Amino acid sequence: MNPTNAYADAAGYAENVNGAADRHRYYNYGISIPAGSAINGIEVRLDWWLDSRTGTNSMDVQLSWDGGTTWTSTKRDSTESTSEHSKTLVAPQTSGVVPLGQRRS
Amino acid sequence: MRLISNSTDANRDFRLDWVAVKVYYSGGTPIENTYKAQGSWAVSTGTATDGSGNAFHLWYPTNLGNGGYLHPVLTWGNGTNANPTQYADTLDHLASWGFVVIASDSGTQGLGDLMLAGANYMIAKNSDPGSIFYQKLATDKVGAFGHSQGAGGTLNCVLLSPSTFKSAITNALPNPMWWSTPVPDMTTWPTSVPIWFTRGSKDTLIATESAAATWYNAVPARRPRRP
Repeated sequence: MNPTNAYADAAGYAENVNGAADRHRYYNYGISIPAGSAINGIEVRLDWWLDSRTGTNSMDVQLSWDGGTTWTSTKRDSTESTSEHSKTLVAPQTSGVVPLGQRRS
Repeated sequence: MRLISNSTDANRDFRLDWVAVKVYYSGGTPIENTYKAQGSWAVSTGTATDGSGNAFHLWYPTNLGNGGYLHPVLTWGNGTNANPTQYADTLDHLASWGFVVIASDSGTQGLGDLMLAGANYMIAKNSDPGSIFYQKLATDKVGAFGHSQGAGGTLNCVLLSPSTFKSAITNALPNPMWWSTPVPDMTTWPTSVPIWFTRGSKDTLIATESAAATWYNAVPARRPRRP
């Protein structure tokens, strides 16, 4: 429900009811990379929570470099919370990269 | 990207407030490409001692004042037990872009008084007809920066004399628990002095991410903070 709410850190949220094993794609972030740049790393931040901690629950992230034909290995957030929490996951092929900065809050 | 929700309970609901992506890249940005290269000023080095016996190293453009240019001044603070020559590459690089850099030889600069002494030494030399720096310095453009304990000294030297400084940069500013001297009250930081906190992202001991956020958030904001 309301999947586009997750594109912004705003009041609304996206909800996946009875969502075990479901998959959702998020794309078209409009990130502009200057020509000639080297990609040093990619981070994905998830702000999410559960309706209940019953069962064993987690959220996985995979990235694709070819429009969804091929996917990276999985990065997982196994934090189970019923209130919103944030988790930043680093793309597997970029681990070890020194980020250029941190998101400020 | 795709997200996969996992649960051993088929009735589990997943709620997602935000999924954000950050891409790190290098090169290609005009500012970075420009300033990572050596500047156009040839650089000389020297040493100095002020009237109180404090010793300093200097990095400065060889052709001081060429074209009528007034050089901004930077005072540097070493990390614990370090000396300026261990940072020579960085300090030389800055001088090549026109800065006059003065760095106390002391390995204990947390109080900031020696960094301030360095700044004051350069300001005084701008008014000394017998100095090579006479009327060659922009004494209204003085910055403070330092590493580790010297990052702490950066805070203290600005707080000792806010009107002296135009800007400040800390590199690996230690968490408050590592301070053996009083921790500065950053809520009193002057809004006239922009400060940039930098740290190594793999440092989980001395200058941690959470502490950096605490330092940052304590600084009074002159403008709304960037998200």
